[in-house]
Amino acid sequence: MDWIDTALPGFGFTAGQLLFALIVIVVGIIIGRLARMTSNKVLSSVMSENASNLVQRIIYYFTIIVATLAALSYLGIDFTGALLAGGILGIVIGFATQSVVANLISGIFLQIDKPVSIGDPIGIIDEHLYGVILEINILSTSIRTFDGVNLRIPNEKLFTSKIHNFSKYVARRVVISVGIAYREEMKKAIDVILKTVKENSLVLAEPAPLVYVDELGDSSVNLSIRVWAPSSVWFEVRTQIVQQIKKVLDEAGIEIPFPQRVIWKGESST
Amino acid sequence: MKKFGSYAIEDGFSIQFRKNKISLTKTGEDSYIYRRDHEGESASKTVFSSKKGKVKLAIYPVRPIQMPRRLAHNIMVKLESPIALPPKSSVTHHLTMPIEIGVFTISKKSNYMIDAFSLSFPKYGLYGTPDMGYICRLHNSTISSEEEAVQYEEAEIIMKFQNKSANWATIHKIVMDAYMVDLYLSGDTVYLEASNLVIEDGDVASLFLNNKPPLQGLEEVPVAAESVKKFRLGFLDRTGFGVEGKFIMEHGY
Repeated sequence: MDWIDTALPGFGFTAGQLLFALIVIVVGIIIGRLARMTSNKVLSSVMSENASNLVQRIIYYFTIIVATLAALSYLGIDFTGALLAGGILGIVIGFATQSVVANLISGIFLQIDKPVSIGDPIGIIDEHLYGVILEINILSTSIRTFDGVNLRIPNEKLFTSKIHNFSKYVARRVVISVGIAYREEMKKAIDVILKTVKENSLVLAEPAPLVYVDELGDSSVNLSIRVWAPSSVWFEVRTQIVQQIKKVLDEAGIEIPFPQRVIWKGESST
Repeated sequence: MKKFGSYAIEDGFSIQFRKNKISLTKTGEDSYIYRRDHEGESASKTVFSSKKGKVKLAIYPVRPIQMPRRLAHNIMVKLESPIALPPKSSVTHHLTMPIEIGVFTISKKSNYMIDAFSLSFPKYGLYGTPDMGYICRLHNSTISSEEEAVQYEEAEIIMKFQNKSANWATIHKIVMDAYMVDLYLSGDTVYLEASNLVIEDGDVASLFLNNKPPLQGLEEVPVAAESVKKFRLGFLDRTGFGVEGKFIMEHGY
C-alpha cells in the first residue's frame, strides 16, 4: 500500500489524495442522482413536467459542481484566479441574461404558486389583457385573448401583475345598476326585477338575489341588482338579465329616465 | 297508463309528458326523426337510424344533471321545515328530489341518450362559500310520512335520519352527489335507493346510499346515461359523498 503515500510526479498531491478526491466526486454524483430522484417525486405533483425537469437538472449539476470543487480544493488546487475570472464572467452573463433568468425564476414560481392554471379565463389588469391560459412554459405563458389572438407574455410580467382569475371559484356575482324615474313606485320596480331574475334558471337561488335602492341620483332612483351565477355562465347570465330587466320594466310601464337637468331661469330685477 | 319503459320504433309513435310531446317520424328505410315539442314549439330534434327493429326507444327517469345544462353534479334538497333530532335517536321521513326524463335509443350493444328534459323548473344553489362551495341543483322538498312525489317530476326519498351524537341536531338541507344516485321504479313512481343520513358528531352529517331499493318489489331503472355509468364505476365510492370532504350542515353562504 505504499503507492497511496507516493507523490505523483509533477503534482502536489499523492495517489491516495487523488483517489479520495475521485471518491468525493463519485459520491457527489450519487448524491446528485438521489437528489434528482427525490425532487422528481416531490416536484412532479406541484409543477409541470418541463419546470420539474429543469429544477432537477439544476439540483443535479449544482451537487456535482460542489463535490468537484471540494475534491479539487482537497488536492490543494487554488481557485482564487478561476473564481475571480468566473465571477467577472458571471457578472457579464448575469447582466446579459437577467431578463431570461427573471422569466425563468418567475416561471418556476408560477408553477409553484399556481395563480393560474391551463384553461383558466383571466384578466391581467395592468395590461388590460383578457383571455384564456393556453400554456405555461418555463419562460413565457401563452394566452388566447377573448378576441381570438394568441398572446405570449413573459413569465416575469405575468407573475408580477395583478391577475383576475375568473374561474378560481365556483360562483361569481353579477352586479347591474338601473335607474328608474322619481315618480315610479320603488317597491313595484324592485318586485318586478326580483321576479324576473328568480325566473332565470341560471341565476342561483342561494345566495338569494338582491335588489335594493342604491342611491338617489341626479336623474333617477338607482337600483342595484346583485345575483350570483355559476362562474362558467357568468357572462351569459349578465347579458340575459340586463335584457330581461329592460323588457319587464317596459312591460310594467316603469320609466328608465334619460339624464335630465332642471334649468331655473331667474327673473330680472329691473 | 305507464309511460316509463321501452318502445318499438314505429312511424307515428307519440307519447305526452304534460306539455312535452315526443314523436317519431319515419323518413327513410331505416331512418327516423325523433322530435320533442314543448307547448307546440320544437324543443329537440334528432335523426337516427334503426336497422330492422334492432333498436328500441326507451324513456326512463334519469338523475337531474342534464337540464338546463350540465352545471352541477350535486343535488341540494332543502327541507320545507327543519328536522330536529334528539340525541341517540332515529326517524324515517319521506322527502322528494328532482328527476329528469331521459330518452334513449337502446340496442343489445349500447344505449345512447338522445334527449333529456325536465317537467319542473330547474334552479341551482350554492352550498358553502364561492371559494369552497358546490353548485347544486336545488330542490325544495316536503317532509311527510307518506309518498308525495309529483309524478314524472320528482322521486320519492325514504330516508332514515340517525343522530348518534350526544346533542340535538337540526337538519335543514341534504346534499348528495347525483352521480352516486340509483333510481328505482314502481310503475311510473320513482324512488331513490335506500338511504340514511347519520350525524356522528358536531355539525357534520354523512349520507349513505345503500345500493338497494328502499321498498321491496321495486325494479332498478334499467337504462342510464353511459357516461354517468362509466364515471361512477371508475371513480366513485359507494358510501359517503364521493367528493373530497364532507358537507357541513348549515354552512350556508
